[in-house]
Amino acid sequence: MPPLAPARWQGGVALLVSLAVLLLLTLVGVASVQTMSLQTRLAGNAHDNLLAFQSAELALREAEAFLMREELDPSRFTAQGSAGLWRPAAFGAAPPWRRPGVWAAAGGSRLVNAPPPGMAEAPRYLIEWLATLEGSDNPHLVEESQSAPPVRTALFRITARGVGATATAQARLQSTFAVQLPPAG
Amino acid sequence: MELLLAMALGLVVALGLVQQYSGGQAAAARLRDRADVQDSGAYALGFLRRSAMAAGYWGCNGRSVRPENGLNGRWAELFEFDVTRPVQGFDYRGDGESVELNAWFPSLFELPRQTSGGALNALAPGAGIRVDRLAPGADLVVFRRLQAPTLPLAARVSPGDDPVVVEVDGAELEAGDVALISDCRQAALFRITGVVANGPRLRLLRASGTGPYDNANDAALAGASYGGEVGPQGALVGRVMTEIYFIAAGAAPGVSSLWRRSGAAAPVELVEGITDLQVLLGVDVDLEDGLAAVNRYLPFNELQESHGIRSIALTVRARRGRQTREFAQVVALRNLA
Repeated sequence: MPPLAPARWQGGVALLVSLAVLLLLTLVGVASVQTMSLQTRLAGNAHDNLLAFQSAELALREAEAFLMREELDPSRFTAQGSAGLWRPAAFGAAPPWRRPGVWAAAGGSRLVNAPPPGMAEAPRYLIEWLATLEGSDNPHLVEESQSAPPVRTALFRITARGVGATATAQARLQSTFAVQLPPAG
Repeated sequence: MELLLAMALGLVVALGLVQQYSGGQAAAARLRDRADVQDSGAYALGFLRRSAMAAGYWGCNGRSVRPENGLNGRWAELFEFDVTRPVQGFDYRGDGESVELNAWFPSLFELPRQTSGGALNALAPGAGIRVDRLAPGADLVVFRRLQAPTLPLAARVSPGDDPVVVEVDGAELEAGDVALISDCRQAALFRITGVVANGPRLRLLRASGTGPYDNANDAALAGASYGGEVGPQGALVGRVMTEIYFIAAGAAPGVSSLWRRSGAAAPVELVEGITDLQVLLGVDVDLEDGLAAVNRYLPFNELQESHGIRSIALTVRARRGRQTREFAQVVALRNLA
């Protein structure tokens, strides 16, 4: 058997091999970290989306509660918007919720009371007084349609905007809300 | 001797490593299948949820407004535009293999479907659903609404006039569309036969014809004024959107998929690996009891006139490899409740 080569000739090879193996392991690790962070971002975006929707829903509910609670005086609803209360725009004009800036201005929209934490911006809403309908044949009040004095019904359009944990996730919801007014005069 | 021992040990260690690796591979494949099942199920439910939430949106109309039908066909003949039924479904009642029309209840007879003679119950030729490709056992569910965004009226419409609307970003209305005009107190279905643009304003022509999808001569729109009483902002025109969800064979062999047919277009395969769809309606069986709450979940065929529909329970089953999972969600139908 020939004598083995001295050990000092092999040291460099072992280093090279172990470095190559380490590089491979690092690549595998980096790839899996990338996949994981992508998954986390996907889940985060889905959560953001849901949070924006739910906060818009919260604002919508609060606006409906506002309309049921407050005394509804048409003079509070103005063409330029006062504290989020609007007269409807004219034929062909853009409704307030399409105008830029309306969601930032205090006069344009209302903030919900005590918004829950975790949102980039607090949910807001605005209300347009669409019309006041009169007549006992009012289709919106099926139960009251038999009552003798003509009923007056105010129709409102509520637009709510919610923002998720990041400001880029936004949701808007709209509902039409009818409130029976006390008889005129 | 040492060499032999070392080789034997090395072999054992190597075999162990190979075993470990292949076991890990199998586990990883199962995990991947499971993740795929999770993604497909959640994705499929997402489509269904968004359509369900918007079902029954007809502008600011209260639900007691009965839309007028301005077309020649009766509501039952206009499946794609029957705005009187915001939510509709077909329950599978067959033996688990049959895909006859009567294997579902009610029968799929009125569905826009493709036959050897062309498309039946459909506005566009060639855009029907292939009933023979449906997955036996799965339900079909239909949601109807106005496509958002809708277009506000640019001026009051006097009786007999053509409606003029303001163009809105992202809204599409073109000749041939069937649309609904609505103003909180009334609504009517009509067909747009031409669009004349004047700056941002679009005049929607509505010539009459003789086919079931054509405007009738005595169109309901002719006798009504829109946008007068309720003011300028409540009145709008929107394209009627009917979405039919069903499970049928997909492009990949041996796997069924969730499909959707939107409006008058041909069906589109949405999510691969969905094998079942089951639908129940949450109903208030007694509207007079003063409790506006769901007290029963019923299949479509047990629904009665006196029931109030409040919510819909959707269940999809996703499969990938040997992994199967069911996903369920209850969605409130705000526009119906």
